[in-house]
Amino acid sequence: MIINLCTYSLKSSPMSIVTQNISKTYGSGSLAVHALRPLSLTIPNNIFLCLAGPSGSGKSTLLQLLGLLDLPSTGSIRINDTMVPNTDSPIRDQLRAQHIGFIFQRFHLMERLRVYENIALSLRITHNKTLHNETELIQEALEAVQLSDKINRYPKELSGGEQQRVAIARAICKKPTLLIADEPTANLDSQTSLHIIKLLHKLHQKQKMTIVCASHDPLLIQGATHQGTLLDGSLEVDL
Amino acid sequence: MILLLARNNIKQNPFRNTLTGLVLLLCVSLAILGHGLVMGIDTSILRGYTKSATGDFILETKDSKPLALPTLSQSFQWTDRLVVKATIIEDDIQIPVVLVGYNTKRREKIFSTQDWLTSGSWPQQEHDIATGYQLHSMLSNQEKPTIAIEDPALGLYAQSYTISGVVRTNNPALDSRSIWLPNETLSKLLNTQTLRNQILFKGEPPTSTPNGWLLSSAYDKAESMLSINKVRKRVLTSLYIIILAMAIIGLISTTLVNMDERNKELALLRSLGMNKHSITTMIITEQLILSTLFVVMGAFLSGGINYYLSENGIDLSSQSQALGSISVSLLLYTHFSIKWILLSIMGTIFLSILPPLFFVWRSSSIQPIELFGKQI
Repeated sequence: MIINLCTYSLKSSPMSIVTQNISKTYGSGSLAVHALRPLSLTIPNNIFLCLAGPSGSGKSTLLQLLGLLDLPSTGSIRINDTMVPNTDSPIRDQLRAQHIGFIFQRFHLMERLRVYENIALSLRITHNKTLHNETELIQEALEAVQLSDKINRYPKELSGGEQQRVAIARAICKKPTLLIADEPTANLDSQTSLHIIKLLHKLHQKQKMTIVCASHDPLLIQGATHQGTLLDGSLEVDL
Repeated sequence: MILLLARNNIKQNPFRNTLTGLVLLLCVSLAILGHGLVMGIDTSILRGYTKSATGDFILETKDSKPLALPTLSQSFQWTDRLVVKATIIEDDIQIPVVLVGYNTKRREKIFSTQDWLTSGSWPQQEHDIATGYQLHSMLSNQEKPTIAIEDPALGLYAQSYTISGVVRTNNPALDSRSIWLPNETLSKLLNTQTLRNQILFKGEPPTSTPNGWLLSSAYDKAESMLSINKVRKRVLTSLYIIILAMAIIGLISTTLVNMDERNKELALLRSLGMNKHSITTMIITEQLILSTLFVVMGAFLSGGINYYLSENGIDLSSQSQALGSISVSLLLYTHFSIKWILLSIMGTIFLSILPPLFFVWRSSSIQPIELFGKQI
């Protein structure tokens, strides 16, 4: 069967995400663990939504589903007017590459690649080639995170905060319409956390980026335009 | 992008990649050298025999019964021999041997003495003998062994002799059983006077076979030895197959373990949006670079050794001397085949690609978050 990818191509931003009864259950029968109960949610463009809640409440699960890193057990996700297939499909790869930036708690940088190469990797995956203005885009992203002078460093030569900023630069260099951050300040000291929080706010305000993050950090939660609380897999959100 | 990632992987895991590379190198070397040794068994026998053969052609009497020497042209390089079975008797020990009586006047012309190692001297006195190198190690405690002729029809004699020299021909049959002595000494012992049962030729054979004699080449003689080699070849082939299978299993499991440690890397690439096709291309490209490098290196190394051994052989007897009482007289040659080397290279590279293909197939069927495990 030939899939016409154009059929699934996203319209250009602004992006809106609509979830309908998405849930995630691990295991089955009496051993089933409901990581996320059926949830319908609409995330409009240009908002900064921060999800709070105790550990195990389903914050990360929801972000993983929104970031298309995992398949929901039930329900569906619609990005703009495009229904995301609930099967392992190349369309999900395409969506991840072109429209979603993910910031991990543990940074996940390639240790043997320089800062420049780590960011270039994301760009090359997105465009499936080396762009002629690749260096400019990387410098632009690094300027946004104030790390222009560390472009040729290896991750191990950077502090934890700097590594997280490189991870943010990697996520934003492709100019995603949705930026997802899973506890981006969890592994950082308070001073560095503050810096990252300010950076996310700046990205939201200046680049009009839709940001969805999960955090326990009160500063990050309070600074978001919208807050949500997840408890036992159910969400209470004020949009 | 693929090269960027390949570089990252090679730099990130030098130990893991070197280990996989060494297994690849070992695998291809085993395939090439093992095949060379197995296929070279026959070559070893033939070349070992023909190299140490005492003539290119041999005239023999039927049933080894001595006959009067036929008229032969003086222009030939030939020597007459009297060959009879005998037994060395020492207390309760009896060792079967072959007495080789030779024409002393023609010995230097006919014997390939330039390829032989002789310690001591060829028999000079009436009761002097020279023994084969391996036989001598069995007689090391006996300065004057007693030799008895086996065939009563030729007359039963037992006589003590002095070992004046030890001859090493690298022909197992000669080294382990032969006793060399002048025709005159043996004739006197057998009372055969001028009768002979073997004539050896170097160069052109006689145009016609004298009555009562059979003509054959040294190569024919060596061919007949191959039949006794069949069992040894079968055992060695089985051993080769078992070792090769173990090496292949080692190669596959090492490559699989190598791949399994890359889950986090693949998870990151997939979360960045890299599709399965690109991941497959990346993994296969990396594996091809690694495999080609080490497999070609291994092929050059083992192919070179194989070629050297196929040309010059290796004398295991000198190595076996170090083992003391265990003595093996064997000149080993390998069989060199470019076709097999190419086949080994392609086969090893192909086998090294199978585990990554399986890994990519398996990791593509699960979501990035599962590849990350708990460490997101």
